[in-house]
Amino acid sequence: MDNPVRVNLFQGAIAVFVVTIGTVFFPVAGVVVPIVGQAGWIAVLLGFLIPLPWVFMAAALVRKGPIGEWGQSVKAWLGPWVGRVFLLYIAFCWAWLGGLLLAQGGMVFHNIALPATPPWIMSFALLILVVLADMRGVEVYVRSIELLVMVCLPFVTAFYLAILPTMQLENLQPLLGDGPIRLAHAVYLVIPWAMEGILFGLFIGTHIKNNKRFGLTISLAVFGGGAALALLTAFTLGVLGRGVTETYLYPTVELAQTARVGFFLQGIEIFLYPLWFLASYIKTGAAFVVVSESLRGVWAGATQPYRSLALGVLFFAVSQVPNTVQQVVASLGRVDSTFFMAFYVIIPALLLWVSIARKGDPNQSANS
Amino acid sequence: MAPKGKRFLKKPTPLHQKTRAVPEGCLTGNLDHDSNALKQLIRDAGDLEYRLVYTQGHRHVALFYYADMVNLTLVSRGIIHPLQQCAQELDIAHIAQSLLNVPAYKQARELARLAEALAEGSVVLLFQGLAEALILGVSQIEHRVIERSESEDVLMGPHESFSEQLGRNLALMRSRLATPAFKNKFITLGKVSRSKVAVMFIDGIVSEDLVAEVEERLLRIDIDYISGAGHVSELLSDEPTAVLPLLRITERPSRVAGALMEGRVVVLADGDPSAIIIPTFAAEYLQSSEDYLERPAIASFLRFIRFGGLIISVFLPGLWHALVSFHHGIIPPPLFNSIVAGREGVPLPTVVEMIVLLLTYDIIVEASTRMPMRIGQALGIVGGIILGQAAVQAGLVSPAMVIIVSLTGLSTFTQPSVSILGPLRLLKYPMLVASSIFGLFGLMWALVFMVLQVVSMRSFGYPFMYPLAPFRWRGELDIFIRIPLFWLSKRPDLLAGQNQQRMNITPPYPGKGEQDGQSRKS
Repeated sequence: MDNPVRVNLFQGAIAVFVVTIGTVFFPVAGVVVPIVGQAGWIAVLLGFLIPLPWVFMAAALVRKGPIGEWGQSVKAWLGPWVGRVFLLYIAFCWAWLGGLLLAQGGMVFHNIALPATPPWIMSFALLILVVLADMRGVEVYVRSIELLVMVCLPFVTAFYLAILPTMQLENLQPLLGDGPIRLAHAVYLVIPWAMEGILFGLFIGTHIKNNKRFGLTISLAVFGGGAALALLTAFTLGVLGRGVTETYLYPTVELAQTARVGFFLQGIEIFLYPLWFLASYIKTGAAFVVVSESLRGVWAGATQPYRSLALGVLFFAVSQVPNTVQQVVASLGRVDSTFFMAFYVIIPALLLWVSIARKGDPNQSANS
Repeated sequence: MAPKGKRFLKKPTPLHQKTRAVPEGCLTGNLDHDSNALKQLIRDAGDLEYRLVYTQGHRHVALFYYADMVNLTLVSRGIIHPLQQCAQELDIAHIAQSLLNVPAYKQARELARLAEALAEGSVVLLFQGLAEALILGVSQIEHRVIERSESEDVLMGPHESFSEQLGRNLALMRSRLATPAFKNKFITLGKVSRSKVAVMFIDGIVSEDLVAEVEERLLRIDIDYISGAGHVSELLSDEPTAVLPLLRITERPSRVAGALMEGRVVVLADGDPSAIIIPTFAAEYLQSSEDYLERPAIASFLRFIRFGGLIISVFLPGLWHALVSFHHGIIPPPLFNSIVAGREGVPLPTVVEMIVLLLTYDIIVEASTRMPMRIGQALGIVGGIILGQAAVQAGLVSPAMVIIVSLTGLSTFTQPSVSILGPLRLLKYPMLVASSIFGLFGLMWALVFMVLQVVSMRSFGYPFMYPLAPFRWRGELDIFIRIPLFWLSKRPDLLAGQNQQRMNITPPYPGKGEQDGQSRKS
């Protein structure tokens, strides 16, 4: 029998929401608070609000191509050769990001939970899952996210409930003490995170059959992810205060340490590790799947399981370049601010190109 | 040149070739010849009865039957006696229609067909001078009566379960679904066993594609012997090697009726009281038949207990080991000190201690399951309480470990379906091994690996994790809580594509204008 279900809009929205939050929930406060202080949460909120029109541009693009395969859609928008170049660029951006995320996943666990285990072993273990997900296909990967979100929900709820009593509202004052220029700078740093979510939305949109409300739903998912991160930043500021938050690379871990849940358990931050693991799997998996599908669009001969295995080697090689967490964070910042930021120009240009140059040829299929 | 002695040895013929190689032919009308041919075809059958009857019209008739498979009273009064009294020269159709007193008959001339009919419990009549035989349906095979289901026992609701007789099982279903829309198609499986398999569905609700797929997969089975539903379910399954059962097996007619009314197909095999529900979704293993007889709040609480039991039975040993061995910072020092004090003198590492205890527990469970009930209870007491206490006192295991293993074992048995117990008992081991290598990281790795496995599984093409993944609000709610029946007015959308509405009722709230204690009529 044919598979009765493919990726649906709800699944796509959940995937975009989770990929948008991704691994950013660990360093988010540590990135914005040193720049804009107590207005960090506003910067996060604005950073996810401003790019929302790009979601609708992505939705308009999705409607202009065939549904079912990312590579075919891109080639239908841009033609076979320009499409291939674009797919290669996308693969390059996501492969670099994915490799760094893989490194970050291993290093964070090495630093905070398993100091005796070399980080590359944990990166490799994570990579096995990601490769496995890619071999099973986009549909299985998206379904795994759906199920894992349900696993995360009790942890997230418990986390917020545990730290709520230690929140002090006066730590959030003064709200805009650092001025609008620094706020704009912080927003600029946040915007690429939203672009990651939007780009993944563009990718997943080409797999969704009924995408009439795609723009609205995915924009809600992206903004929802941003709102969750803004809330986390506000909590971090409210509990730790600006001074403490500024000093840590991953303030969320420190935030969790302040939680007290009675005499039976202490050091509740241990329950952040599962969240971190799941976030690492989801975000790295998203990067891997996008790269894999892009390469499939470039060269149809890249079949499974060789494609996934070759990409696994590539991701692992990239993950071994940085040596410290600081280097990983700095590299991630560079990838975000250069390659992903570029899509703020690329997506409108792409839409313009597709609307004008390929007008009158809406049903053109990829000539691959 | 072949070595001496070997020329006398014949290569043994495989069974399926033997059955294919039997002489096939048709009746000739010569009674001696036909009888011998039939006897030759069914050689080495000690329970085959053969009897010659002489009619008053001086006609010779030969009866063949297996003595323990037919109703002997009916054979004597309905067949032999009327034949002996018959003085006329009747043709075969008249003999069957007006002379013999039997419920069903067929005519046949192929010897192979006659041999098959005999194996099914029919009586075969051969006539002198007629190249055609009568197959008389007078089979009577002793079967177990309808009893309570032992594997799916409930406190409330219907208790009856299927038996080994397919016809009786179908009658049970007909009594529950008294509608011409209830359909069943017979397929014969097994070249040797010739087992009948019934494919049941409700016309107008079920997807025709699903019925066609079930039939196609059944017809594709080319096998000598089918022992029952378990055998068939493995051969039908999308992933026969999967740890989780992708097709649910049940003995309860009430559950089968419910499944049929949701748009599923159910397969029953002759000689087995188990029915296969197609397709099956993982969440159904958490649901009990009694849930819909309880108040929603109570049933929801029980589902919560079962869900918690499922989580504990798979993850608790691994989680405990991860916390105690890798992340003991989470445990307050006084508690951790008492755990360490309990382990003092225990010769085994924590993970080995836990695996040994879990295996011991599983051995006790397996032993008590195979024993008669009273011995099983005694075995449980001896194994569980006495052995555990003695092991702690001897310093072989720590008290905390006994508590963790007992809780894990108890939680396993909160599940209402027997089919899921085996997988749950097995899955805790890989989780424990993963956590023994990497602590919480390993446990999470194993969790994601397991999630990837289950979300990629399909039951007859339908996603096994529906309605969790792909997510459906309505179905999702009915997994974790038991929602009121009037909210379940539609069938699962994946199954019943066209006929989704199953009830049109409004909730029986009292009228707003009525006063307390005042009935509507008054």
